Amino acid sequence: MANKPIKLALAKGRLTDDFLQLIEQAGIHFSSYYEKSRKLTFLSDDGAFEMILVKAMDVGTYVENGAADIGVAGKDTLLENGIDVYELVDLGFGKCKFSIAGPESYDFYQQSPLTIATKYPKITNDYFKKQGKQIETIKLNGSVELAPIVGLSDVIVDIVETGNTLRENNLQILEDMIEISARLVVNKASYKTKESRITPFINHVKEQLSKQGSVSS
Amino acid sequence: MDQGQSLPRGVTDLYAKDYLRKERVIDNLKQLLHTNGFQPIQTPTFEYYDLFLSIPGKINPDRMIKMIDHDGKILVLRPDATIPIARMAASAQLDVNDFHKLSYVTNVFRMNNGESDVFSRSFTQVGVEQFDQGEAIHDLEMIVLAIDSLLTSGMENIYLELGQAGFFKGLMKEVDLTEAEQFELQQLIEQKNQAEIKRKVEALNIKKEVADVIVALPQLFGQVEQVVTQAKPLCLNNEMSETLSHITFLSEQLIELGYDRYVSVDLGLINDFQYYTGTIFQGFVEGYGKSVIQGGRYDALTEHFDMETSAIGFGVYVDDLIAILNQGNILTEGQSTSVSIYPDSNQAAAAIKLAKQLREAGVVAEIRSNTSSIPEAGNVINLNDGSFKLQGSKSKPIPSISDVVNEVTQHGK
Repeated sequence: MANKPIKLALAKGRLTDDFLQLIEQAGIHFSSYYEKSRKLTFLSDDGAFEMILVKAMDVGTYVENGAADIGVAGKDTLLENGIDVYELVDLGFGKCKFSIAGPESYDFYQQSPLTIATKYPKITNDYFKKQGKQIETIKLNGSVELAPIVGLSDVIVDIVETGNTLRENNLQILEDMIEISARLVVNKASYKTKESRITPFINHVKEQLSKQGSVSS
Repeated sequence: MDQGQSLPRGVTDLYAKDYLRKERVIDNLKQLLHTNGFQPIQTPTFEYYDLFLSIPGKINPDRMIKMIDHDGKILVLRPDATIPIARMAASAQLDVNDFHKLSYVTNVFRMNNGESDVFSRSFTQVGVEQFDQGEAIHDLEMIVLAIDSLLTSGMENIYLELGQAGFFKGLMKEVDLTEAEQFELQQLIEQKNQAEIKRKVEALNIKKEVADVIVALPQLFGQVEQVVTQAKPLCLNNEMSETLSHITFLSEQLIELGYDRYVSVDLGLINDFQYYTGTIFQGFVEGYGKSVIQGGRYDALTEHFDMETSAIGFGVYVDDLIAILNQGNILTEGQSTSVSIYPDSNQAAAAIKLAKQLREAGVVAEIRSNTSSIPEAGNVINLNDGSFKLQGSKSKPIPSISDVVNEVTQHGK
């Protein structure tokens, strides 16, 4: 019986394009992905891999439950969903950081209760729990910068790349929390039961990364 | 939906066919454990919260399902199978010079939130605990039994991953880290997150000699021989090298038994439960995303109960095994032959007598009452008109009991 293809969970967008470029250099091609279509699954040209396209926030969930063997996920989504997987490679791209932002020079540690609007309530709560500071979180699904302006919250916690959006809304980074980047994750059972097929793939990826001189491990 | 009729998250009903399948898997496992000399035991469904709270490497208190007793004490639904058994063994004052083999079939309760997996808050475990003096042969026996448990349950393509808690513990003796720092490192090692391990050891200022070993740990897995060769030069003290010789011993014996093909080693396997002290293992089935067996040797727990004995055990996650069987339809149900009897309402006793005779001969006999809707399918005896009808054939007068039994069992094949 021929082996079933190894399943790769990826999210549509820049992370995936960067990653596909990386594995193409290792000889793994998904020609069908570049045709215009609404398909969500693609078989690699050699049939050894199957790519499934999912929401960025869900990549970790697919991999944790074994619906996919390997995934490329932002560290933010892994932390927010408390995903239990092997986090084998820091891919080095998709770099950004979590920051606390608010009105200029606002001393939020003095504010009690402190209200924080964010798309990431778990990461926010975990961070402040470590600091021993009690907070209230308000979960929003986008345009978080609006919350302090209209008085919904005192500060926000969000991913910051350039800081442009913050500046245009008169907000300022008050504290940096954690650095994040794209990670290559593997289901714990798959890594053991399909080791002979997954390890060469991981090594290819690492090799390409070190050729590019990016951060790798 | 009306709350009175719906179920809470994380629990489920099991209807006839599913429950039958589960019972069959459990029966097979029980038979295996019985022939291995294990004595079945049972502990209470709920116990004091304090018991579980006081154990080293304890279960996350947030995940225990709690209730308040009359006197204000907190009770919890059994959040773990092993701890109550250790408590029981200690309070029964088992003769520690003898060794004791106990087995259980039990439900474990956890407050899992988030996902709506119907077994996430109440799941069934079949398992064993053995109290001994830590002899190597018992480690070997347990590994073999764990593999046999999966084979008995009809699993194919199984993998047992073997670790040694002593390797990491020995390594931690070379550095001066707080418990919290050790825990953070352990978590990163379990994620095989080499990039962040590197950052962490730098941040903790760990001396290079030790840091190199910590960073290498996630890579120390695979075939036994290869891992041992890789790990040998990394040993910094006796405790670490002893664990390697133990693995080599186990591996040699497993080869002799022909079980080496199921087993690989992972020195980065430390496990959530910090109470494991020696050999640890977990079992996987290809194509299923979670481990289905977890076990190992745990001396710290028995110490906690002032028992001068070592202990080793494992638990099988039965509901996960069923999920695998359902995926692959590996299990074929033996259809037992059955007959429906429609009684003459004036002579109920005759129907019951007939049913009893059929049952004694091993035929499933059911008494129905509504003669107005006798179904087309199935084997039917109608006492109203004295007819007997095998599924798919014409009805005829009722023959003798032995002929009915013969025809029905022949027909069932």
